Amino acid sequence: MQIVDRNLTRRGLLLWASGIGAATILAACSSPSAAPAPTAAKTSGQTAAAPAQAAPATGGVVTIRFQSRGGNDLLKIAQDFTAMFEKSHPNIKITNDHTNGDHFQKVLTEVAAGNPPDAYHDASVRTGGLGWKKKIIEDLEPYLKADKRFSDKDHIAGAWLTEIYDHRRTAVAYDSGAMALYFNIDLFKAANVPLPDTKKRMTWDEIQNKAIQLTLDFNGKHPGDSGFDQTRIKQYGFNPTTVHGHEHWFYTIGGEIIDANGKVEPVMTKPETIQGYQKLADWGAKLFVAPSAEYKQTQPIAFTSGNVAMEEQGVWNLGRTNEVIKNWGVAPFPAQQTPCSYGQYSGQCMTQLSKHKNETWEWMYWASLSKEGQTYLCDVGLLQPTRVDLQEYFVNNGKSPAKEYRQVFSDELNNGQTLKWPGEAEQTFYLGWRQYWLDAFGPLYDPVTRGKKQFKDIAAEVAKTMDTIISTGQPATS
Amino acid sequence: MSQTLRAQLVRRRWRRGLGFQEALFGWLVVTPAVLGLIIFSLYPVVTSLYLSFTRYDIVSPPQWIGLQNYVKLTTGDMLYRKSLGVTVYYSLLAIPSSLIVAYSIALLMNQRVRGISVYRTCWYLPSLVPGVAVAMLWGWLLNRDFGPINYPLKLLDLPAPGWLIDPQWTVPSLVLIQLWGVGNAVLIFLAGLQGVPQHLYEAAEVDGAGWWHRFRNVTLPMTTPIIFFNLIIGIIQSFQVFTIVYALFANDPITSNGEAGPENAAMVYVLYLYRNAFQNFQNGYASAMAWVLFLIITVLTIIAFRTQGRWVYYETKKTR
Repeated sequence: MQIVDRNLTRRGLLLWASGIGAATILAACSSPSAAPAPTAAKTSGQTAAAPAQAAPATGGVVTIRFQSRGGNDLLKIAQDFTAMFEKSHPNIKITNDHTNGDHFQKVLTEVAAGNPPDAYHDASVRTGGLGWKKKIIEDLEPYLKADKRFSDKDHIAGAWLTEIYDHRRTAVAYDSGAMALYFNIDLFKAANVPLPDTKKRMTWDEIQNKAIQLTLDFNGKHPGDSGFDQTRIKQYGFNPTTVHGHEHWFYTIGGEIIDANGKVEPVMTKPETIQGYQKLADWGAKLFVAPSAEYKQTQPIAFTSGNVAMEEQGVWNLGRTNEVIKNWGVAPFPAQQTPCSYGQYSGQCMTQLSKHKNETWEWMYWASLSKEGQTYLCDVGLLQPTRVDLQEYFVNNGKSPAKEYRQVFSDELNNGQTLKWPGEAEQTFYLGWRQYWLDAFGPLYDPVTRGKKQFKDIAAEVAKTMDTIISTGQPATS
Repeated sequence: MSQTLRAQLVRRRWRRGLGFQEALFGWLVVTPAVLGLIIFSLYPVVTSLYLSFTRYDIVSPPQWIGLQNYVKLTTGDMLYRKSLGVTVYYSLLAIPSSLIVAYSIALLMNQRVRGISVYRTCWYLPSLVPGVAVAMLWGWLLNRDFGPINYPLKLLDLPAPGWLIDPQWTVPSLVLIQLWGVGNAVLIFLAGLQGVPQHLYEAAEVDGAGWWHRFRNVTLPMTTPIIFFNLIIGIIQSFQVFTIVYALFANDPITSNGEAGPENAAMVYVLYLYRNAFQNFQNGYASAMAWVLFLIITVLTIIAFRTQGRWVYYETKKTR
């Protein structure tokens, strides 16, 4: 058969088709062009390619890529910030690569293509652990040790929250800080309810009383009033956090979810833990003072929408809150027995596949650990500084909220007595599996938040699922 | 060599030269399409088949594990079975309902009335709306407490279900949303209806057939090939439903709580596949899921083709 034959026979066509198919199969079965294997995870005791004191590249400009994430406000911050860095570091250029969507999928795709960003702004509380476990991100301990500009004493106790895995620091703070209780002063005054005390934590009953007085349906009725309609709420009194920092609901009464041996079952099924999770669900499902998946409202419900009187929020929302709410304050988290505080930092990580690690570290240090970088991030409302010498600067910032309220954020994060997080004993936030944990926990907890089940009925199943995730390192399959 | 023979040889060589050029030109013209098919279709398909036999987490090279992924699918993954169950349930509701609704609308659109082109446009337009916009719209329409669909039901004292928040109503809600976009199927049915020979209707009228008998004995049989076509397309599309579900329930991994609908009631097959591939670092397992889905759809399609002889009428088929 000749290719030039105008009268290609059926046999000829089949021969050609199978030839092309065989060539394709052979191509596919060769080593796929998947990600080049990243360097092995650097566990303690193993010396990485210890960088010298981060020295700028000699000769020529090096371009690195920094992937930021979030809305357009965060894009603007990243663009301005990287421009500032380039002015002071003319030999390093930064290409800003932003994503509004799922940043981690983008990072994974780029890693698979062998072209990841040099550094990226992670949602540490979710995907930091996966990035570490899957060997995407670099161990920063060698860089911190080698960099003479850095000292642990220069940073507060809570500087590395959600950034420590297997006793290794894997990210440097880029946004976030402490969590606390935001409250809308105007709504409190309109309801004639005394403002929360910035020095004294409210008990559950105290916050419940305030929340009931501050919750109104469109007929002006409060929960418990005759004719109150929980499906038509004009204003909620309270919005507890269900993801970031929700653990204080059981910590405060002696509960726990990961014991010192890295197990969930022995502690998740304890009465204190069950009570804490049940209380968290009851705010919306039973007391109707908090938003609930069971009763979705027509309008957006958020502190920044002006229809929530109290909300457990992070300092990372400070800037956005100031844009819309003029008169607001901050109080510490409620505590039923033991006071607990929480915070988290969404840091920026260096990828193991970065080809310019020294330059990337130079950017990361300047942006997240230097006084200049942290001052800028603090000024734009993104970061509660980790530097000790910026604590007063943050508190006395002059921007809303007032100094006494900013002091609450500072106290919550600096107080080693109250700061607590799951996996603390193992020095690994949620033992590295927070994302898988959330994916499995949500569907199980959903009927509790809707009032269809009690947490005590699902506690054992939740514990078993979480223990399976931790022991296998695989997502839940039930 | 005689002159005649020489002339013949010259002509033959000339023809072969011309044929070569034409063939070459033809190959050059189709090469981009063939290359595109190989690079963007055939290669990924074959690669995914290979990956389905590996443990592959994207960030490190695939590791051959044989049939373990397939064994896990069939024995060890309850969430997989749930996703398959949800998808089958969705398909059992969506396929017949969309065929009936689309066919009914096409029958209406096949009438000779003033302004019919406007009506046809109105019925077709929803199918052009992007999936995310559809999800946003229907998320509001189906709200239990303030959505416009439940409002008249409440006025009439009828049950007003929690469409998207009640696990029992989640899949029917998705079917309802999907019915809004049957415009494509309507268009195809309409083309089929307009292809029914008029003389058959005239003959039926002459024989005294009423509208029902005309529909049952002329319209329906003559449009069975179109129904069959839409059935196959419906099977393929319903088993691969994804966009609406993702936009409604799972579109923000940063703030979502990990579930797909209330108690995972909307965890359809492709959503679970997507989650395994791009969120759980289990690309090999997701590839195995993709191939199993392909097999399921293929088997159903084969069954449909095998049974078509009993109910699909082709005018060109030779009768025995």
